[in-house]
Amino acid sequence: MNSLFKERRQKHFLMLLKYWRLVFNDHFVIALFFLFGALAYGYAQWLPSIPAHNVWIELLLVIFMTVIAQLGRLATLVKTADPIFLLPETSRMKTYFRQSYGYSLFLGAIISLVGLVVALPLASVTSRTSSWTIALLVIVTLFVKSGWLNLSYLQLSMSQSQNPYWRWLKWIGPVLVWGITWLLSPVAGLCLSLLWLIITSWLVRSNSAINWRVAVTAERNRMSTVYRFFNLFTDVPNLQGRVKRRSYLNFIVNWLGQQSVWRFLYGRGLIRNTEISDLVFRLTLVMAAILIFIPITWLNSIIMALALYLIAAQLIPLYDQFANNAFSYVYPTTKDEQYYDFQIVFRKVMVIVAIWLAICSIGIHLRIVQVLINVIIAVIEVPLLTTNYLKYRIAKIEK
Amino acid sequence: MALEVTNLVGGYSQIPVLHQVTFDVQPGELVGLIGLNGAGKSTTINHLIGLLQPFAGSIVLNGHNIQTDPVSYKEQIAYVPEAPVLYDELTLREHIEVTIKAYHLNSEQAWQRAQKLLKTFRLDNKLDWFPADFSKGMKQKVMIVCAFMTDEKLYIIDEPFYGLDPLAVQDLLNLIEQKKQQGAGILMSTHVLDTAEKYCDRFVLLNSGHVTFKGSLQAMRAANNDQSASLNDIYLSMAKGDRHE
Repeated sequence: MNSLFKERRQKHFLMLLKYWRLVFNDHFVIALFFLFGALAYGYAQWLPSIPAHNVWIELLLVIFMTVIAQLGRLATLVKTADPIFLLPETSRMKTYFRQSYGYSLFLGAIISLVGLVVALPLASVTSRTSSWTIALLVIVTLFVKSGWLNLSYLQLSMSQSQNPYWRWLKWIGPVLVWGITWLLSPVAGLCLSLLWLIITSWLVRSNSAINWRVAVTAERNRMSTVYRFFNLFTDVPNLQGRVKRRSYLNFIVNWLGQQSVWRFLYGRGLIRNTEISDLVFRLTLVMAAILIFIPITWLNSIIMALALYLIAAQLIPLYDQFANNAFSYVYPTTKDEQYYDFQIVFRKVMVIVAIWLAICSIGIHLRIVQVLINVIIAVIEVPLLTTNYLKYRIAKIEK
Repeated sequence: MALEVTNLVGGYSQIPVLHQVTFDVQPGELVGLIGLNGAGKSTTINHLIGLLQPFAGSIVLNGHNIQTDPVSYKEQIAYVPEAPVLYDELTLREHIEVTIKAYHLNSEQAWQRAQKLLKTFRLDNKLDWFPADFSKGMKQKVMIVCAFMTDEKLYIIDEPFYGLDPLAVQDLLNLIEQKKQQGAGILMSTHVLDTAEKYCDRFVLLNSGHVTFKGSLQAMRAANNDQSASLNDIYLSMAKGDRHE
């Protein structure tokens, strides 16, 4: 039983490695680097304009660090068949879960510390941060994450898995700790975070029996998030989004396609399957927000061009959404019809996205010139994306 | 004229699973495709619906070859898969609409036929349900409704009885009988041999990708030198011969 987690962790690592290699192989990642560069540049430009001891900035820090604490979930690597095959071993699974906790803490701590590094420049603008304070902040970050993972573990326990209270505490705890830390003093924050760690550890110790059913579901959900992330860059097999009726969007469904089989399917597949529509929707919102807040003309235009490309790249896998349905082959239609219908749906969505982004680029200073430049970019780029680029990507999918 | 499969060699990868498979389905007859697990029944059907490309041989339906003239070929077939295959994003109503669009059916007449079928299978009050809300048997019924609401020349039915309640099995057999009367050919693969014995006009026996027998039950009995043997007996004796000792 001692080696089981190690074996699984190794297999898990290999799987992640395989996907990471694909991630860095994709030109999509280059676009993302540009985007992060632009964001970092904007952040650096913004910093000098912030006044010292600003309460709003301190509140922003509290919110930011609380959200960061939610990233990096408990990775138990439990499998669906475990409740059946490991049932006789349940009492000996403690070691397994302790190891999984250690592994999750390691990864979670890295994410939290990266978040802290991002937040530090902002913190040093509002209040004086000595290296002594930074050391305190690092410890608070680790304690908060550690306690947060304790609660995640508690949510899988037999006696506590039905208790909705823990889900709230996973937000309330970090909010309190970081609130005290940023608004009052880091030393007080440290004391509170230590208390938070001790209490959550004690709770875990007194509720250690695992609820297999909940643990399996939680791990499956976590893995599907991981797969969804990788799916941004490459095709992850068997990844199925959830289906929502969304009858309030029926007018879009009807607008996208009623006439032919494939337009009928693509319209519904896009709107009702959360997989691609949520991604495109979120990307559009984030990009629009960036366009609103970046006042440098050339940077704004580059981001407009990148945004259109990124959104188009995420929309194209819709073409293949019905590939594992036998009726896609049984129906008397041709590949050309399918391509043509997809192109219509794709173009319609891209035009809406482009119009929305161009409107948003007017920004807070109402720059009409920026809008005009971005409209010109869209008028050139959208036809390229919906013909040449689409053809190139579909050829890759069909191969 | 009907479905003619001639010297079909095929399979999933480079290695052929089917070897020189030849048989035909005539209008107005129900042909049973019988064989052990792994004999090649589903592979044959996957070739017939165009999911797999033949390595050699031909599949022709009323003069339309699946490889040279796929659209005209596919316009004449309806298919009920072994395990229900539905679009997760479409309601039952929309599955019927997609079928109408795919086969360019007359919407009004097709809906009339569909309504009748939906009533038969007790699905008429579930038109706005998504596949996720259906049980396995209901999904299978949706597949049957979508196939039988069309007016095709050939129906390809893969193991249709799994997960159906006895009432639905009877309803399906009645439907098959109706389509036969109207002159459609039906190819059905199944393990439910007593039903097959009662309803099929002819049988095609597959064994390790070879057609080992073609013909009626009478002919099969004659070949086995046992005039009273049931299809089950003949099938079992064949299975024994194939058992790896």
